[in-house]
Amino acid sequence: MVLKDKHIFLLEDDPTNFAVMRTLLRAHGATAVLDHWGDTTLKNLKNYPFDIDLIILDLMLPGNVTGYDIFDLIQADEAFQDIPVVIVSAADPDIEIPKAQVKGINGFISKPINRHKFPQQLLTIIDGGAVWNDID
Amino acid sequence: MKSSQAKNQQPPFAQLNSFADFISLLTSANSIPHIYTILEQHLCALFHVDTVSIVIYDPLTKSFEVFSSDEGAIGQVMSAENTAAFQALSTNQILHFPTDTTLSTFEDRRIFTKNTPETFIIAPLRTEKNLFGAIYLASSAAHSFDDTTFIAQITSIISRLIEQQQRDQRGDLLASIVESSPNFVGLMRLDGQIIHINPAGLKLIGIGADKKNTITSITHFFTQEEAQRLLYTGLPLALESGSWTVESQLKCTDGAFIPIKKTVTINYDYHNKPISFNLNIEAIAAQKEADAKLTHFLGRLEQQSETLRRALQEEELLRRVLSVTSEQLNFRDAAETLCQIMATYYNVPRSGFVLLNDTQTAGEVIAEYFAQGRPSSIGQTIPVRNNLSMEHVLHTKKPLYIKNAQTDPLMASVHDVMKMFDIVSILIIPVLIDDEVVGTLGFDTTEFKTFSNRQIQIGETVAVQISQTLQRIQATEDLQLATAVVENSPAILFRWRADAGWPVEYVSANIAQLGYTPTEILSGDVLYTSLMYKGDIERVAAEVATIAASGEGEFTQEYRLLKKSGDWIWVDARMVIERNENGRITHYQGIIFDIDERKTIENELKQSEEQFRTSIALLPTPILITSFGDNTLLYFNNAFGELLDIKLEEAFNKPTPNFYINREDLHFVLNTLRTEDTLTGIEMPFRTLTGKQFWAEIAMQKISYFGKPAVLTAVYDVTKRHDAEQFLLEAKEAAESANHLKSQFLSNMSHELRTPLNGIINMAGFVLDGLLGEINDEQAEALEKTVDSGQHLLSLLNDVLDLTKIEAGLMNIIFEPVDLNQMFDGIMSTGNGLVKGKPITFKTEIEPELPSLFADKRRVRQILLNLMSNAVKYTQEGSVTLRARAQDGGIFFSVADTGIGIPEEDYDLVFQEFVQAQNNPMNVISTGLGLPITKQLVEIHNGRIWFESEVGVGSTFFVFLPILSPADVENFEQQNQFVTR
Repeated sequence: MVLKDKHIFLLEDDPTNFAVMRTLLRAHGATAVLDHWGDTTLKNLKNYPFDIDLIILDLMLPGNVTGYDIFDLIQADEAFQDIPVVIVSAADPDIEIPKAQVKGINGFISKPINRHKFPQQLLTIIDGGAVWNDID
Repeated sequence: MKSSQAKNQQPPFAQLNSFADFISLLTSANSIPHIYTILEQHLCALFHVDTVSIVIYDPLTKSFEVFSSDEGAIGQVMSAENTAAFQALSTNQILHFPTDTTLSTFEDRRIFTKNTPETFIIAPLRTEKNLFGAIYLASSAAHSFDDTTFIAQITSIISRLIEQQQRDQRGDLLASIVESSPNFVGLMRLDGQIIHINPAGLKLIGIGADKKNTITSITHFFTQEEAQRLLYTGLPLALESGSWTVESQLKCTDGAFIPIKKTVTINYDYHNKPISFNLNIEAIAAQKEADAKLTHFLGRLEQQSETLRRALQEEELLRRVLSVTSEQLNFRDAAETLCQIMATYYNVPRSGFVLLNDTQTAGEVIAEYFAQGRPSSIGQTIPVRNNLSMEHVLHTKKPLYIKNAQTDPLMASVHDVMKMFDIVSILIIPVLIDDEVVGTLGFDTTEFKTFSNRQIQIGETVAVQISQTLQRIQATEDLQLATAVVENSPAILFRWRADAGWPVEYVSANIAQLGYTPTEILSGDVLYTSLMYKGDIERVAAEVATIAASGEGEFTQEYRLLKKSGDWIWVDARMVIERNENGRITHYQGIIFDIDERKTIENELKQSEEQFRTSIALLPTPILITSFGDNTLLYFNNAFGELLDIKLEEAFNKPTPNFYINREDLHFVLNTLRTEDTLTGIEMPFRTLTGKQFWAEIAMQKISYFGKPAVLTAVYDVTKRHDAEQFLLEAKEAAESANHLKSQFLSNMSHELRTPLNGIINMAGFVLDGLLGEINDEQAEALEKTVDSGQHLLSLLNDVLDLTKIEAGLMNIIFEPVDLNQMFDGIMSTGNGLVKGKPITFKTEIEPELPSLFADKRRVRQILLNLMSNAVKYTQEGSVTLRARAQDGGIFFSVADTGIGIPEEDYDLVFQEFVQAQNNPMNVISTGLGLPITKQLVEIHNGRIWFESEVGVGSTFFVFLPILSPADVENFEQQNQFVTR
């Protein structure tokens, strides 16, 4: 239960992946706040009654929106600036990791995720570290 | 503005019956303000104007008070200076300001606060003796005041009326003074008949006011003799000198005589004819006065003799001080003598002079006087900080007297010292230069002593002398230094009289440089111009004339001067013009430098510059020379003329045409040349004189061209090269854009292919892990196979994507320092996981403290893991050994297995894509992409990969990665297309 009592906001549009992530996060004790991308996403994030420990973003979102765009929107709001953000995506890590690093995102974890390592990877980021795939 | 039209309640003059009525109205006025009020009310109508303003002159303050004008100006007081009114008044002329003139240049414009009228005249109000003021008659429309004679007559009448009023008023005033005077004041006719005696006078004689008419002649209170003396001696003397005073006696009605002092003054009529005299009598108590005088005199005598004695003493003291301070050239000696003189004067046993340093933080005792048996403090340093008495003196800049130095809080830090030396009272006098304390004169006593103000003042006077001495000695030292500097300087100082031939009035001794002595130059036998080169004189004279006419004060010239040896040298003269108060030139001052050497070099340079021009004339490179600063075209060669369609004979010595198509380019070039001497490799579009455009690469260099600063510009036509570059640039942009699309496509493809695997592998995994409830062994086995298949598909996919990226040049290689020792730990734990129950041991032989690589960490790891994974795949049992050592500027890695080995006929296939060994006895599941990818990754790092193998014994794969520097990386990145960043 490495993620016990952690409030994790997950933005994921693929229903299967959504289910995978939810199962895993809950299985490890996290309170998963799940959302699809839409007009109300940021409002939901804002209205969430607890402090959020981590934001997980998918990269490829419907309507030509990318996880980077969401990151920019989140960063623009002072209330969210200190929350660590990790990208969990099936996009090519060679191409995406440099982009994510430039943006100041705290990590990139490739899909398929490794279900045994994933909770610990998230915890590393919550504790202020960075995870770039499974290197380091 | 007060106008008659606006004052309907006042009868306009037109309604007065005649001019006579106006005059009688004026004469009936009982005061001067009344007269002015009448004028204010009636003059408008009289002269058909709409404004009358009156200002009254006060001779004491030389100013005017505004009596009437706009409401805004009434009561205002203006200085008479620069007023039209005062001009009219002082010249006694009526000033006429016709239509086209305004008051604007005069101060009186301020009394018209609303608007300055168009036309007006200013008439003075004055008599011969008295100035009263002025009247402004103003009209807002054009108005001709043609009858100024009439106006003059009227103002003359008015002025006389005012004078009369003034006299009456003065008479009233005098009368009241006379009546209230405590002295006898009487008015008599010239024959002695009494006109009036004031009450005090009647009282003195002893007559009641009711009987004053009985006193008719001065003989009533003077003896006959006294009366005659007054009338026949006193009056003529008073007429001559204004007044006559004499002491005599007054005869009172009771027969008593009292001592008096009487004064006679004369009254005159308007024609300056004496008509009466005033008699002023003061009673004096003679004896009493005499007594008082005597006492006073004796007292003063005593006082004076004491003052005299002291003055003599002080004079002697100051004389001595003066002689010391003016004669001594050494300040320390002077200060020591002064300490002694002053200690003697004050009668104290010890005195000293402390000279402060520039920062006023400490002082040094530089002179001292002391009675026998006391130690000398000369040379001792006295800190100012925390020395309260010193700080006090520095702050107040005034003498400080301390009665008891052993208890006074200002001496707190030195109470012990004071006690040790029995010092009781202290006087400190500051010495100031430019209002800053530079030193102090101090006096100590061994018993209580006070100093009088006078004594302290003398001390201050001496301090001023010390200050002057100090400054004088410093100035002398400075002068000596300055003289020495001049003597050794190459600059010869001159002062010439602005006269024919420039006679020399002063020349510094270093004229010796030219072989002359100052005396022979100053004797007057040698005129300066006779030393000048004949061919230069005319030019020099013309230059001086031009400068003098321009009003400038300083200029520089160069000419040749004759040395005593007969040689000519070039000199540079920096001149200053001296003018007298009329602006006429009286002298020239100047400094002369020998610049012969420089001139010679300049001449040589000139020759070489000519050669230079000849040599560039036929160069194929187009070259242009322009003057630096005013951009005049000085020269260009044939090649330049051809390139820019320009002819030298047409363009020479004219402003250089603008060849730059873009203004910014021109500005850039000019700005750069302002700070840089050269400018190279700049490409910009040019236009020839005939309008042809081309791309030019220019190189510029600041040069000296015939002694003047100039710019040499070489122009190359690089249009072809520029076009080619442009083409390449566009191609590169297109390629980059294509690359971007490719990478986006690849990333999307990765996303599409791998996303479903996330579901497959993990969902199956959750069930397998029992997250969703218990399962039986059969189900678990099935799910394990699902997960393994998913993993296999994923690794296949990863390999394909990697290879695609490498080939598409999309592999991101991030070079950074890589700590291998740390990396091996991670690799070994991953490697152990690869074995999956086979009897294989992992071994490492790693040299300790391997140097860091400069490489992509992920890729190095991938290389080693690929090799290890391969080794495990083809090994049934035994060992896999990872070795690493530093050698030949790089790291040698090797992975050795005890597997099946590679048959020789397959060697060529090992690193080929999608090829797996035909001989696959172990049915190894593999994409056949691992080794080709590994090879590519090694090569990306500029490394090598090879292997040795023996069938049935095992294979060893070797990798050599060089230790690169960041600079190396940059070099080979440029050569290798597959690396993009």
